[in-house]
Order: sequence, then structure tokens, then C-alpha cells
Amino acid sequence: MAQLRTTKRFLRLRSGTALAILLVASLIALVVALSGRDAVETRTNNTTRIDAILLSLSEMSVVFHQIQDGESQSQNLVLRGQLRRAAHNAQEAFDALSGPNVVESFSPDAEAILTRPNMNPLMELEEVLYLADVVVAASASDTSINLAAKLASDLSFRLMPFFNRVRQSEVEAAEAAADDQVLYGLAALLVTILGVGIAIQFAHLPMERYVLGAQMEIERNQRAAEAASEAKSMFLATMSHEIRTPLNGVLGLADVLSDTQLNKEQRRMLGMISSSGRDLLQIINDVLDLSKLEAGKSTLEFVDFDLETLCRETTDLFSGQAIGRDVELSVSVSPSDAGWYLHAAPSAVRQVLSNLVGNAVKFTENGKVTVHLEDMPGPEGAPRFVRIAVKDEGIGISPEAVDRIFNQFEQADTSTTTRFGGTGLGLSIVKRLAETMNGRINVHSVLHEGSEFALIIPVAKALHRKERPQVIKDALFDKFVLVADDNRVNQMVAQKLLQKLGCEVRLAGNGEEAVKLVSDWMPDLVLMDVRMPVMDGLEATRQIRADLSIPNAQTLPIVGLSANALDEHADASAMAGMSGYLEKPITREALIAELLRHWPDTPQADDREDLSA
Amino acid sequence: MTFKHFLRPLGLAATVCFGPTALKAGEDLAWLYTWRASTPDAFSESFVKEHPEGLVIDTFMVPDEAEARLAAQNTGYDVSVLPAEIVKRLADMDALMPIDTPVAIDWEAAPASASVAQTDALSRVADYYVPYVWGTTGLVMDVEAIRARLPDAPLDSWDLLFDPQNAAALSDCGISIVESAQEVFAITLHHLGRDPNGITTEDLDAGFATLREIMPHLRGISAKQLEEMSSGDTCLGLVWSTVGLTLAKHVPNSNYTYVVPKEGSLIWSNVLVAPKSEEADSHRSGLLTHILSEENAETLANYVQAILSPKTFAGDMSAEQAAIAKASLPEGRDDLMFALRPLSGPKKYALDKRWRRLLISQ
Repeated sequence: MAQLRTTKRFLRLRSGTALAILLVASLIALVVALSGRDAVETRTNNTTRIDAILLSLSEMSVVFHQIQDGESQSQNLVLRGQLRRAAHNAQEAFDALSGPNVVESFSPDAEAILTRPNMNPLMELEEVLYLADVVVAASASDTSINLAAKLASDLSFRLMPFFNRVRQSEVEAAEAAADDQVLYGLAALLVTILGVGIAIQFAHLPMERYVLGAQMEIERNQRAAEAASEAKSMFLATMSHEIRTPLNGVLGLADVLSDTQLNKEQRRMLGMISSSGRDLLQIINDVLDLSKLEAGKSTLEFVDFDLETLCRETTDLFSGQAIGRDVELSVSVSPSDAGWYLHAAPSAVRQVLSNLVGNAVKFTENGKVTVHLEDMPGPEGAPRFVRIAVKDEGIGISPEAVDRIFNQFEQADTSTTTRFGGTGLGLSIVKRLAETMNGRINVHSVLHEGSEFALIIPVAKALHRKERPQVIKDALFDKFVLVADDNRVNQMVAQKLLQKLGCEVRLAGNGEEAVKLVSDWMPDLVLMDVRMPVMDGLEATRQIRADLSIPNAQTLPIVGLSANALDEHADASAMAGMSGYLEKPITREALIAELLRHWPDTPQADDREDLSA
Repeated sequence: MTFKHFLRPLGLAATVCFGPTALKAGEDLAWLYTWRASTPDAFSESFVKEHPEGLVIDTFMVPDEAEARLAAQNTGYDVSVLPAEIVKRLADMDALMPIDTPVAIDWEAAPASASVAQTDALSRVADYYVPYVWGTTGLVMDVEAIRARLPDAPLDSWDLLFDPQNAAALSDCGISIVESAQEVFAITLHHLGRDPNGITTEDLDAGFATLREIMPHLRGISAKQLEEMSSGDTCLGLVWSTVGLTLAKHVPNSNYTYVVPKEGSLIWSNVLVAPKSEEADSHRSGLLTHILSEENAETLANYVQAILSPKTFAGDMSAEQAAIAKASLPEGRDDLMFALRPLSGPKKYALDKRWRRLLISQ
């Protein structure tokens, strides 16, 4: 950075010099233009005055000649009138030339002619005007008039070449001024080009090198950051798999164990095991979610759903926790003309709401937590925005802490972690998710009084009509299911769950065994772990689909299992030919739902009761 | 008034404004600027024989016309004939170019009376001229007509002209004065016994007072005396010797006699100069050589009844030239003669202004 700062000062100095040169060149050009304009204006005025004199002299000469020729009395009167007018014009031009500093404004050659002692044109012009006065005077005799006309005529003819020379000198001076202006303009252009050259050499090129170097460094750092991020994602994915796999085993077995005969103490301890496991799983999920969001690998699935139901269901998940903390948890929904069945990203909304409600309950003791759903008023024709506010009567947040609570691993104060637990990732995920949905999170909080977090997101009108939700109930499938998983605990969890659903289960430890068992045993469905030693689930799936000896190789339901929550695993599963995907740990509801998707005609608990009835 | 009448002054004005340069454009003619009717046709013809490009002779009638024309510069003339007294003013105006004289003059050997015009008028401008011709200014008179009116008046004195009673007596038979302000004024001052080249206010007052007294009796002040007096109805003229001798010699049945008054008079000198021009010096040398050649110089001088300066200075005059010289300047008058000195611009302006007032009787 020290080097960059030096370069910046250096570049500023050089670009300043270049700009100064350009400024000087521009000023020179301006001065040249102004002086050139003045010179041209002066020459034009001078030429106009001389033209007036030449024209008047010509007119007077004609009249003088005609008077000498002895025109008639009446004609002479007319001629004298013409002479008076021409002499008046000449007198005006003479007076203009006699003004202060007028002769000095002429070009040097013209000024020399106008001021020279020999044959001075202005003095001789004055003499012509005097003689013209004699000619037009009523009192003069004819002899005097004729003689004055002759003298004036001779003098006029002698004068005209001088004024013509003065005029020519002015024209040449104007041309020279124009040429000078061009030269000055060229000089200014050269200075400008020089300034541009200096600017290029000493400012632009170094700056370009500086910018390119900085850009390359940024790209290098970006690649390094991306590689680090990739490595982090890979690490997190790996770790999540490695941690979640045994955790799934713990939770799954605890679930299985809960269905057995246990005394009260055992059941309490089992509950603690499940609770601790779920907390741990939540932490892992949070870390994983954040990782996905940062890596930009989190894609939202926009579908039609009932937002009110989602809010109520999500809030209900925290009802037990709320009761434990003596918190009154409620949901209120404002009426909406558009209804709450809409098109948005339900999973993201659910996740945000879970975080917010979870926090609200966690930080409130003996108070109220209210979830309120409402439309955001907006102008007609504008996109619809909805607001989901979670208001609590908890400990509140100080104003200075409000700005940093959305940072990773940040909580309102250090004691919060100690007192309430948590990783400090929840609100960071909330904020990211809200932004991913093109929405935002608003916070209003008063310390010791409570907080309100509001999610505001744009929603669209539902694409399809609302359907009645499918209720997952117990079912007996009476099918052959092959479970392929390298982890013995997972094998056992899946086996127990499937057996409780009436399925006969066989186990395979890797993909190769799975392919063989499918060929030999001909199961109705395969639960195939994606990651396994010897042969992974993806390759095993491809081999099964390609095995012509298997009658239902193309239609056999193969459901992928993975503890890796990254979406690309689901995509890879589909690409390999799997017909479903379950995320570990497998829950009973998810498993039933997936099996029902493949065997929809399987009677569920209520149906069976109906049938038995 | 006819259309021709209207066009004539306009055409003249255009010629004056643009001069021969405009006429010369695209041509390679030689241009000579000289007195009106001062060159015989043979001169042009002989020049064209040697220089097929051709010769144009432009002319003037009074010195002021020539001075004004050349002062305007860029006239395109290769060579001009000028009265000596205006050379310095033109040189001061940078209207002339130095000229190499093909004539070597031994000033020491020159007769004092003949060289006075050269030395007085042309001092300090020796590089700008070549001596050409000289003559005198005197009186031409019809002796019989004058004697009929003034039986006792002296015919060899300026009193014949400047005495108002004499002038009044001769007014019916006509008195003409040459249109040359400086010459007439100088002779007037000389008649009054003053310095002929004086130009003080007192000089002006005295000179013009005398002239004003005889003005009412004059028939005219003219530059066309030769034409006007050829009819013989003007009995007295203040003229150049060239005019006076021509009238006496060539006018049929004339009784004119040219007289240099006994009080002395003016010796004038004409020189050859090179008007300044932006064009290349293509004909100056050739034209100068042609004018001063053995076969042309004397012919030209004799044609106008002038005396060729180089021959005068060299003491190598032909009989005809000697006769012209004798008629122009009778023996015994040398010491009484004077030449004009160049006037400065302001002094000439003052003189001309008085001159014009005199002419229009204001």
C-alpha cells in the first residue's frame, strides 16, 4: 500500500503538470482568438473608413469633372447637390480618421502614409473638402467654381492612390493578422499536443499501468479468495457430512429408541440426547447455510404456498420452547384482498422466520412474542410486498449494537453468548436470505423493552390454484427396499424406519454390493447413499440403469441419500439417474412422503381405518 | 451629359488608383513615365526594334501629378523623367530606387550655370537619378502686340509681367503663366529681390501679394501652354524654355520670342529616375541605355528644345544643342540664374495651399 500511495502522489503531480500545460495552451488559444478578433475588427473598421473616403473621392471626382465640362445651370445645381452629399460623407470619414488614436490603430505601413509629411493624404483630403465647399458655395463666381473644381479634381485623382494604398495595407495587415492567428493557433495546438503527450507519458500511461497492476492484483486476490472460499465450502461440506453422518445416527437411533419401552428417567435422558443433537445439527446447518449463501450456491425455489400457514406452522415449532420460558406466542394476520396463497420462496421465508421467532423466544422471558403478517401498502400497479414482523418483549438491543447484529459471529454484547448461547450466525443468515429474496430486514428495538424484526419481501400472485395440503400419516408399504450406505448406524436407522413402515429391508455397504443385490434380489426401491467407498451411489445408479438384465432397470425408484446439503449433490443425483433425493438425517415424515411419491396408492392410516370400518 | 462623359472620369480614376500595374499584368512591356508630348514616335519605334516586348509611354502634364503618381508607389514604371526638385521628396518617401548611371559626369568641368540645377536640387540624392536635360524658365512674348500696348515697357525685364499696370495693359492680348507653383513663386520672389527659394511666411505673403495683383489680368494658369498659345492670341507667357523655344520655332507665322529677363531666372533640370516597383528590373537598364544612347539622347532633347545635360557637362554639344542652349540661356546671364531647391512636405503643402487660394481668388 505504501507503494500505491507513493504512486498516487506521483501521478497527481504529473497529471497536474499535464493539466496545467493544457490549461496554458487553452488560455493561449483564447488570448489568440480574442486578440485576433480585435485585430480583425480594427482592420475592418479602418478599411470601412478608407472605403468611405475612396467612394466619396470617386463621386466628387466625377462631379468635379462634370462641372469643368460646363454643364447647364440647372444641371450644375444638381451636380452641386451630389457634391455636397459626397463631400458630407467624405467629411464624416475624415472626422472619424481625425479622432484620437484612430490613425495609430492602422497598420504601420498605412500609418506611415497617413502621417508622413510629404503628400499627406489627410491634409490633402482636407484641401479637397475646402475646394468642394468653394464649388458648392452660392457666392462663388463661375470662374472660381471651375478653377476650384479643376484643382479639386486633380487633387482627388492624386489622392486616391494613397488611400488605395492605405486600404491595401490594411487588407494585407488583416491577412497577416489572420496568418499570425493561424500560426498562434498552431502554436497553441502544438502546446496542447505537447500537453497531451506529457499527460499521456507522465500521467495516463503510468496510471494505466497502475490501474492494470491494481486490477491484476485484485483479480489475483479474488482468485485466491475464491479458491479459499471454495476450499472453505469444500471443507464445510466435508465436515458437515462427516459430522452429520454420526449425528444422524445418534438422532435416528434416539428416535428409534423412543419407540421402545423406556422408564421415565431413560426417556428424559433420551429427550436430552435428542435435544442436544438437534441443537448441534442446527448449528451445523447454520454454518452450512451461511457457507452456501456466501458461495452464491444457494438457489431459492419459488413456488406457490400459503404464507399464513407457513407462518403459523413455523411459529408452532417454537410453542414448546415458548411454554417453557413462560412466553405467550401468537400469530396475527391482517386481512388481505389478494389472499395469502402466493408465489415466493417458502423455504427461505421459513428459515428467516424460524431464526427470528427462535431469537424472540430465546431472548424473552415471561412476556409476549407476536408474529404479525400484513401487506405493505404501495402505489397501485407496484409489486406486492408483504411484511412479517416478529415482536418480542425481551431484553432489547442497544442502538449502537443494532448495526452490528447482522454481522457474522456478532451478538448484541459478549454476555449474550454466555447467557443465551448461539453462534451469532442466525441474523447474518436472515439478512442474506432476505437480500437473496430481494427483500430486507428492518429492526426496531428498545433496550430492556423488546425488539421487532420485520422481514419485507416482494411476492407474486400464485401461478396455480390452491390445493389441499397432503397430510403425511402412517402407512404400511409391504415392499422390498434395499438400503445402500457405508455407515452402519445409518443403515440401522433406515432399516428400522422402513421395517416400521412394513418394508422388508436388505443392506449394502457400497455401490458395488448395491448393484449386485438389485440384480439378485430385485427390490421395489433403493435408498442409495451418494458417497460410499468402492463405488459411490452415483456410479452404482448409472450401472443399475444401464444393466439390461434387470427388468425394471429404467423404472426402479432409486432415492439418493446424502448428508451434504449443497444443492449440487441433488443435481448430480438426478443427472446420474436417481429418481428422488432425501437429505440425511432421514426423518420418518420425509421418508413416508418420499415413499408415497413412488407408491401413491399405498393406503395410509386413516384410509386403512376407513377400509377396516 | 452623355454616357461617354460620365465614363471618362471614372476610367481616369481607375487608372489613377491602380496605375499601370493593372495594365501591365500578364505583359512584359517596358514603361516610361515622362512629360506629355516629349517623345517622338521614332523613339518608341527604335526601342521596339531592339526590344520586341514593346514600350508604353505614360505621361504627365504638371510636376505635382508625377510626384503624386510616383509617391503612391508600385506604379510599374521602369524609368521616369522628373523635375529635379521633387526627387528628394520622392526618395524620402521611399518611392525611388537607386539607379546606376551609365553617364559619367565630371562635375568639376561642368559650367557653373548649367550645373547649378543639379547641385542645388539633387544634393544628397545622387544615387537616385541620372542627369537628363535642362532648360530655363522665362518669358515668351509677341513683341509687336506688346509694343502696340506698351511702347516703352522693358521687354527684357520681369516688370513686364509683375508690374500690375503692364499686366493690366496686356490683359486684352492675353497673359499666360505656367502651372508650376514653386517655379512661379520662386521667380516672383526673385523679381522682388528676395531669396527665390525662401518659404517663410513673409516670403509667402510678399510673393502671393504680388501675384494677386496681376491675377485679374491673366488669361490663365495652364499646363497646356503649348497648345493654348499656338493660336497666337496670347501675347505674353511665363513659360519653360522648351515651350517658349518651340513656340518661337515651330508655330507658323508666330511672332513669339523667348526671353530670359535681364534680372536672371530659373534653371530647371529634368532627371531620369527609377520608380520603386515590386516587379523585377527587366527593362530599366535597357530603357535607360536607349534614352541616353548617342542616337536617341540628343534627338529627344532637340524634340523638346531642351539641352542634354551629359553633353553640356562634357562640353561636347552639337550645333543644334548649342543653339538651343544659347536661346535658353543667353550669354552673360549665368551668374543671375538660380535653381529650385527641394521643399519639405509641409512647406510644399503651405505653398500649394496659397497657390490654390490664389487661383480661385479666395
